[in-house]
Amino acid sequence: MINWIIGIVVFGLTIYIAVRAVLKLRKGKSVCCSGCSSSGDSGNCHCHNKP
Amino acid sequence: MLNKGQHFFGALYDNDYQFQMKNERGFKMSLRFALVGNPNCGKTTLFNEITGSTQYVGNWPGVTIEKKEGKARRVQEDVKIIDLPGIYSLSPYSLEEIIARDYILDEKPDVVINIIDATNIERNLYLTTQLIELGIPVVAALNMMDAVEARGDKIDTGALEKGIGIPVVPTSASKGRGVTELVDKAIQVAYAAASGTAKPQAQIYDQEVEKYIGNIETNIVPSLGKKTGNARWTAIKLLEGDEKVLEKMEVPAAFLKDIEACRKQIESHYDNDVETVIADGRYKMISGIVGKAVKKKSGSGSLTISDKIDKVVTNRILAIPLFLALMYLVFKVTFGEIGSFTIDWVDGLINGTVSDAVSGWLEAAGAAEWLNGLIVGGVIGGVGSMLVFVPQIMILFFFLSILEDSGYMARAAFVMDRLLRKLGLTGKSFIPMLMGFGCSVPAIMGARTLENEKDRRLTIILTPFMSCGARLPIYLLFVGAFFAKNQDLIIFSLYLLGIVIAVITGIILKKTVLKGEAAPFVMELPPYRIPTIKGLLIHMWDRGKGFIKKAGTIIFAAAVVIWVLQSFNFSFQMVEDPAESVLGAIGGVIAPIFAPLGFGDWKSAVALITGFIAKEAVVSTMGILHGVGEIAEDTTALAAVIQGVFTPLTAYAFMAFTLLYMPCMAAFATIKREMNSWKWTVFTVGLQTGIAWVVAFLIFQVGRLMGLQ
Amino acid sequence: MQRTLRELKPGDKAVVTKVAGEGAVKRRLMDMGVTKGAEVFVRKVAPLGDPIEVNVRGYELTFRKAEAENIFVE
Repeated sequence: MINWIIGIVVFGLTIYIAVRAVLKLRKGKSVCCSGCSSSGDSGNCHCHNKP
Repeated sequence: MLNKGQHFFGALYDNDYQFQMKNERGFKMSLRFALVGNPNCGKTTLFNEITGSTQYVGNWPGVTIEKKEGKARRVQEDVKIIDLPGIYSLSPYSLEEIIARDYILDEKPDVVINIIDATNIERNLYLTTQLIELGIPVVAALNMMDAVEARGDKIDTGALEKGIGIPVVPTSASKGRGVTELVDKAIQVAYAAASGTAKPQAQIYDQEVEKYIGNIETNIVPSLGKKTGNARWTAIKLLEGDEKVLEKMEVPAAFLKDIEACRKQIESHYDNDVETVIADGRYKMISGIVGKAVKKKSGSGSLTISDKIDKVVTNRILAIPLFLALMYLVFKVTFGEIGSFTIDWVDGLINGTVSDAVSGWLEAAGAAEWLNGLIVGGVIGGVGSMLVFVPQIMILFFFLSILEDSGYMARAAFVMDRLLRKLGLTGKSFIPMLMGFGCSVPAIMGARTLENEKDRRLTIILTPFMSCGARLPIYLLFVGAFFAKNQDLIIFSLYLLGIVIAVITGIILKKTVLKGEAAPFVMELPPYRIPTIKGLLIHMWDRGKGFIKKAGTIIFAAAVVIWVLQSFNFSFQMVEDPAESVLGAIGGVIAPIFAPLGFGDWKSAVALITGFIAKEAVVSTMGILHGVGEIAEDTTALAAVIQGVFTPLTAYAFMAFTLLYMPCMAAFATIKREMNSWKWTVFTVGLQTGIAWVVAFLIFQVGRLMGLQ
Repeated sequence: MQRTLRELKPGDKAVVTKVAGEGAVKRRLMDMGVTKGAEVFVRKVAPLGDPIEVNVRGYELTFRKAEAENIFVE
C-alpha cells in the first residue's frame, strides 16, 4: 500500500518538474536560478522576491 | 466603463476632428508609444514598470538585438508600448540606431517617450534634439531623479521644458515614481497631436546653417514627393549627407549638386565638416539649456575617493598582480582546508545519517525493496551527492558577490581591456565572462552590453569556457579522490585551462569566422561602494538557494529517471547488475567514443550525457550508477568508489572534458535566445564539445606517453 | 598650443578645441559629447597607458589612447 503512495508521489513530482522545465525553457525564462541576481535586468528571473 | 464613455463624449463636444479620428480607429482609441533612450538610462526598468507581466520579448528579425513589446497597465486606453534599442544618437551607422530610426519613421508611433538619465543630462539631450527633429511628438522622462536628489543636485524641470520645447516628466523608475504621470502625459500629448496642428520646430542651429536647411527644405524637399516624412528633418539629413536618406529619397543629380554646394559653403565658413558643425550646434543649444536648468552641488573636477583607490587598483605596476592575488586568495579559501571541511561534514550527514534513517524507516513501513532502492539509491544518493558541495559553492559565490557589489569588476574590465584587445576581444567582454565563473546563463545574457554583433557572438561562445559553478561538484569529487593534497592547485589549473582554451579559440575565431573591426570602447565606471554584509549575504543566499532549489527539483527528477533507467531492462524487469539495464545498453553504445580519452566505461559516458540537463547531474548520476546511496557508513563514499574506476590521469582528462564540453540545457536555451539563430547555436555547442574531446584526448594520450598513470 | 587628450594626466583639466579623425570613431566620440567647448577632466589611466577615463559634460567616459590622440584640447 505504502509503495503506491510514495511511488506515485515520487513519479508525479518527477513528471511535473520535467514538464515545468520544458515549458520554462520554451518561454525563455531561466531554469538555472543560481546566477540571476547579478545580471542587469532581471526580467527573466523569478527565483527570488524583491527585497 | 463609465469613464471611457465620459472621455469619449467629452471629445465629441470638444472637437469634431478628434471625434472623427476616434471613429476611424474604432471606439477605443488605440495608441502606440515607443521608448527611446541611451543605454543604461533605466529604460528597461521603466518598461517593466509600465508593462509588467504583459511584456513579450522577442528579437528584431535576423539580429541578436532584443525586441520588447507590452501593454500599459493601469490605464483605460489601449496603449501598446514598444521598447527600442538603447542608442546614443540617430545616425544610420549602427544596427541599433537603424532599427530605432526605421521604426519611428516607418511605423509612426503616436508618441516617442524619450528617457533621459538625469545624472547625465547633456549627453542624453543630444538624442532628444534628434528625436524632436523627426517630427513625431516627444515626451521626455527625466529618469533617475532619486540619484540626482541623493547627490544634492537640483534640476528645474520647468526650465528644461521651456528650453527643449517638449513636456518633461520627472521619474524614478527603480522606485516606481512618476511612471503613471508619464504615461498619462503621453496619452494627453497623443490626443492633442491627433487633433491640433503640429507646432513648427524650433530652429536650433546657427543662422548660417539654418539658412541652408531652409533652402533645401523649400527648394528641394517638396519635389521629392512621396515619403518625405518631416520636411525639416529630411532637409537636415540631406545636408548632413545621411546615406540612408539619400538612398531612400532617390535624389536627382541636379539636386545632389546643389546640396553639395551648400555643404561646401558651410565647411569653408566653419572650417570643419558638416556633421561636426551640426553636432556642435546641438551641444551648444544643450549647454545653454542645461546651464539654466541644472544646478550641481559639487564640482566634478576633483579626484574623489573612488579615484584615489583607483590610483592603486589601476596602477601601471600593481593592477594585474593585484588582480591575480585576489583570485588566488579566493581560491585558497574556497578550495583549501576550510572548503574541504564543509564537504566532509555534509557528506557524513547525508550519505550516513540521513540515508540510514530513511532506509530503516522504509523497511519498517513495509516498503518494497525497489522503492527502498529508488528513494535511498536514487533520490538520496543522487541529490545527496550534489548537495554535499553546496557549502563550498556558497563560499565561492560570496567572493564573487564582493567583487561585483564593490564595483571592482568594472575596474578589472578597464584594466584588462588592453590585453583583451590583443586577443580580439574588448574589455567589455570581460564582465560577462567573469560572471560566467558563477553561472553561464546570466553571463551569456550579459553579452548584450556589447554593441558590436560579432563581439557579442564571440563572447557568447567563449563564456561557457569560464568554468561555471555547477561544474564544481565534479571537480571537487575527483580532486577529493585523487589529488587530496593539492586540491586548490589542481582546480586552479582547471580554471586556468578554461581561460587558455578560451583565449586560443577566441584568437582563431577572430581570424576566421568572426572577423571584424574593433568597436570603440565606451564604458562607464560606477563609483566604488563598500558592500554591506547584509547585501553580500543576500546575494550569496540567493545563489545558494538557487543551487538547492535546483537540487530539489531538476536534479531530483533527473535522479529518479536515471535510477529507473538503470534498474530496469528493456523488458521492464528489474535487474541486479545495472550494466544490463536500459541505461547500460545506451551507455554501452556511447561509451566507445570516450575510450580514447581514458574513460570509456558506460557509467561515465551516461553521466556526461546527463550533464546536459545540469552539470551537477554528472555527480548525481555517478552516485546512483555506482550504488553510493546504499553504501551506508562510508564518508566520501563515492570518492572511494571512483578510485577504482579512474586513475589520476584519466580523472584529470575527465575533468577537462566536463570543463569544456557543451553547457547545460538552461545555458543552451540562453545561447539559442541570444544568438537568435539555430545555426550559430549548433555551431557553438558543437565547437565546445569538439574542443573538449580533443583536449581530453591530448591530456590522456600525451600523459600516457609520458609514463603518467 | 595644440595638445591632445592623450598627453594629459590624471587630475588635469582642459577644454576640447577640435576632434580630428574620421568615420565611426569620430562620430561615436561626438555622440558621447566630445565636441568643441566640452570641458574634460582626466580621472584615471589604465596600467598600459590605455584606456583612459575622463569626466566629460558631467559624466564618466572611457576610451582608448588611439581615440584620445584625435582629441585636441587647450
